[in-house]
Amino acid sequence: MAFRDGKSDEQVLLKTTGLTKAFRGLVALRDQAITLRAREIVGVIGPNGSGKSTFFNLITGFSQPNSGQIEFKGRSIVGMRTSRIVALGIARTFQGSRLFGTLTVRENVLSAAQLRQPIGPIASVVRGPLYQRNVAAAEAIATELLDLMGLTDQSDRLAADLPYGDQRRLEIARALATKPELLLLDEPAAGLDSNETKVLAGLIRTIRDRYGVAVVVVEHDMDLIMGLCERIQVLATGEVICVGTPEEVRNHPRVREAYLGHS
Amino acid sequence: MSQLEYIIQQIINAVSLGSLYALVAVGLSIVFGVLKLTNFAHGDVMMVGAFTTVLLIGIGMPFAPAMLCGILASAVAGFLIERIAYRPIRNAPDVTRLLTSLAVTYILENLGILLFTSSPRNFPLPDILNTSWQLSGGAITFTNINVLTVALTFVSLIGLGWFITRTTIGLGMRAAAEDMQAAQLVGLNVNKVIIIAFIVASAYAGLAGVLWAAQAGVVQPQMGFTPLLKAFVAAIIGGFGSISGALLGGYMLGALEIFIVAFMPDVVVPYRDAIVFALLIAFLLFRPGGLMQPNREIKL
Repeated sequence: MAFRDGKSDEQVLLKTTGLTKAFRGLVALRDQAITLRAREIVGVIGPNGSGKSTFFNLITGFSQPNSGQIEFKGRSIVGMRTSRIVALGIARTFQGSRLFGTLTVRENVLSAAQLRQPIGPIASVVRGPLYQRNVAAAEAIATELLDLMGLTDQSDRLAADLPYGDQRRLEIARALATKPELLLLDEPAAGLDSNETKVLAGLIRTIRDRYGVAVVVVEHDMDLIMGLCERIQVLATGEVICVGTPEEVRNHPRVREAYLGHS
Repeated sequence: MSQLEYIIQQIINAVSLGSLYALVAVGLSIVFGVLKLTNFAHGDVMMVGAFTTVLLIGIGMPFAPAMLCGILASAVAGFLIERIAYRPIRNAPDVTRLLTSLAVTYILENLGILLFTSSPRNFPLPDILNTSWQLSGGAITFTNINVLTVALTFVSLIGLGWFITRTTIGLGMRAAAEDMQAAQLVGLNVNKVIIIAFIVASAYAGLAGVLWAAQAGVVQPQMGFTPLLKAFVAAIIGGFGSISGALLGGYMLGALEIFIVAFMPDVVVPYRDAIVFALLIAFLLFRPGGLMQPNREIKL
């Protein structure tokens, strides 16, 4: 399944400018700006409370910025409701697991696959040929993604019963089922051991190569970020302190000071 | 009359009463599941369905189509209530939402009183539904309306089970009930899911309202209050927000009430409702997640 042809690699996918969010006077994110091109893998790092999750919440419409712009594929998505933003092509996973625990593994992916294979309330009871086609397409997406994530054997288990590592991968599968162009991963390696983290990095690269999605990874795990990302943005107390390649970021004095402890 | 026949009779009574409780409780649970809202107006949506049916029978419509129109009227009422009253306060604090649902209750009841006065009206049940069956020389009796109640409950709940587990919309409803934010993130239009949940729950309220009124033989504007309270108890016993829990709770409550009346000493019988509500308090205190969700906490 190809989500789109890959010729527009250089096109700007996401562009934020002057993004600022304060909660009751406490600034969570100040004047953040990032430009993201198709098929890029970008990392956002920073200590706790540096504004990483706020950044994701703003992009996905869970909270509204006090000021600043968010453009996705050239159009402003500020103020848009979450389900529309997702329909435009942005998907995300959460810090910790936010699966539908009482649904099966397969149903979790299907719930997302139906976005691109819409089935109305009447069609879902009457069941004409279009319904059959859409259901088959959604099932095919689920089958492919569960296979990719190595979850095929677990298809009929309840999501809540999966081991933690499998839950994290299921969450990525569910996000991918909406056929995004931009995938936001919120601490995907949290709680994984170093081996699982390595597998995860490989999976993220495979996802990018196969589906042509751009990926933003918010992480604490420096190994994952440094090994995986082409560019990294470093946040500290809500402000961008540097942007660059892993090498540049590693050697940046303010990063060493603010994030890695000291030089 | 033998002991066995007496017991069979009581089982029939319990299943019949439990079906009504289950129908109402299921509707409450559907709304609570997706919206985390205790919808007090659910009882009044029952009343809308019952009144519509009675009025249509009054102008000469046969029972079955009149009942269908009643169910439809309830579904429309549920749609309007969600759209007008609940959607604007969806993200308000729980107290606001609870009070709004009480306000909707009072508005509907008073509207009913204005239109139809508060005195009960006869429910014109067709003769065929009043026909009673006598088994074992009259030791076991039941009427066709009992049979219809149980049959429609079974059929409609099987339909609901199918809808919830086998359709895409049902999948969306289960996902939204589990985690509203995550549901939005997989692209589900929450407004759509909630409105469908309301329509389905209200259609069940309509069906329950018609059957309740048909069994009672009367309709009146405040008729929704008692079934709402009982269904609330049933839903809590089963596990609020769980559809299978509501079903289980409904039948258990029906069985308990019949048991008290049929097998307890006469001195206890008048305390039937007190026992039932004591049970509610016990569940809220010691097992707030009900039978189906032992680990869950609920808040109203």
